[in-house]
Amino acid sequence: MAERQADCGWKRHISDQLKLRDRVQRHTFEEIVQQSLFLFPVFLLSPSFLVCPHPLSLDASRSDSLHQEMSQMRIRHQEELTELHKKRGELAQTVIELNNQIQQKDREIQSNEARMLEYQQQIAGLDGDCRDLRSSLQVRLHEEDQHSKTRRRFPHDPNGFMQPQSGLLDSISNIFGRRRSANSFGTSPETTEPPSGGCAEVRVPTTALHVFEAHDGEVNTVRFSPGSRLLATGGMDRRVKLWEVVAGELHTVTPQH
Amino acid sequence: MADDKDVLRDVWFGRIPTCFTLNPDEVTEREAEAYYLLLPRVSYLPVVTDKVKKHFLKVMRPEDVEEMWFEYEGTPLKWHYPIGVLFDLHASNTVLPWNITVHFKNFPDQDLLHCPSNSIVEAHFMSSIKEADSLKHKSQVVNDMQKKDHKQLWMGLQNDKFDQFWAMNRKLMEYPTEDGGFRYIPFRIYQTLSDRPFIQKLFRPVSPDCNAHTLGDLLKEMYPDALTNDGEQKRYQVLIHGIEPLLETPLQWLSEHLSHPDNFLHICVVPVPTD
Repeated sequence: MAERQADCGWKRHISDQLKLRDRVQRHTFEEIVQQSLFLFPVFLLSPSFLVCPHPLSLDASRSDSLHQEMSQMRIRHQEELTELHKKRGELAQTVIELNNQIQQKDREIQSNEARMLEYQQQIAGLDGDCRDLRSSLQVRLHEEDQHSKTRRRFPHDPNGFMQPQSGLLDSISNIFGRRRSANSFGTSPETTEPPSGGCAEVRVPTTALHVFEAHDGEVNTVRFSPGSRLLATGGMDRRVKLWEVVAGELHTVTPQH
Repeated sequence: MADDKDVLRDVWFGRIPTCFTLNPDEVTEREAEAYYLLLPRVSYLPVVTDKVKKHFLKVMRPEDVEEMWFEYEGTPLKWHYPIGVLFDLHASNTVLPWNITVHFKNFPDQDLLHCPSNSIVEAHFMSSIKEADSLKHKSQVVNDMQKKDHKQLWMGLQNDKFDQFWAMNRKLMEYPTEDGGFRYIPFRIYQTLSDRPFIQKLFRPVSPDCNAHTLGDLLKEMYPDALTNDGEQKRYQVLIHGIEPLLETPLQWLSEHLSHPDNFLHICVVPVPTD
């Protein structure tokens, strides 16, 4: 009995001493320490640190430890949760930014295509203009050619007063007007088309196929026969000569009078 | 008995309110606030001060940071002592909270061991357990344990898991009934003013005539000055885990219930406060 009491004595003493120590060293400071840690951001997440001090009882230490473990776990989970939330927010932000970029690129593509279309149309238009200009240039060149040929046909007509009698020469000179010239004597069979109402295409002769002495003096007139076989020339020597056109050469036919 | 389990829990969950302040000589970018923490008595400083380090690193430039070390009123704190021992030895009767100064440079190589990582603490902890068991059971129990059991002891301490730790530790607290106790009691007596770091000798828990030795018997043998003779004024306090057990407490029971997790009975003898 005495032994057991003695047993209880020192054991109880130890037990009491431990409780006293905990009261002094731990419980009084627990709340303060927790609240000081509460000021640091990490612990703002954990609600467990708003817990009131533990009741002083024999079970205090046990519930203490459980509570501690739980609050530590809760802190860790809260931290993980905020990290994940943050990551999610960042990823959502990146998604939005990438979407915006895609839309921007689409718009750029569209505007580029529109411009390309415009340019193509311009090119087509310019092509058309180019063709038109080329053809009108060619027309102009032909006209120039013809005009210089008619000038050659009438070398002794310095004032340009001689009126051609046939319809062909008529239309030629009507189109190109009169001009002074002092060119070659020769004439040439020309491949000008006979005019029919509206002149289709007229070319001024440019080459002299045949040059010969027809009269002693000036040659005043030259005419082809309707059959184009005979050529009549009249000059200042008061003579009219008839020539025969045979294979590109001219032979005297008429007698002189 | 149910009380015994309570004692074990009270010992395990003992806490010391501590205020960590940065040494004013440290170069900081802005003023550092003090950091308050409830330190576990049974653990070691490097294991529980990660948050302290993080808190103070926030105000320091990385190039100014070397190994962190702690100091109380000029005395560098040895990290390989349990925190409760450090407190009882240096600051047991001072005003709470315990004010520790944090340093990041000028590591005192003469006084402190370097502790680059927690695995160093683990190695030290395991070697203490093995030493204690060699005294208690000629190392039979600890050698019979597997590597994972050793790991469980350390993880239990590191993560503050009472049940995980004691599931393994109770094996180390068993003894053959015919012996009446351990072979020798693993203990260390620390004194404040002495050249020796601690007293550790062989001491049996049971006397040859089968009487259980008490705390008083141990002190009489190892450190008689700690005891107060009749008529004298008490000069010293004998502290284990911050309390003064009665001198008639059986040593075997003390070793089983009031040991630290490293299976040693750490006893601090401090002068009685004069005021």
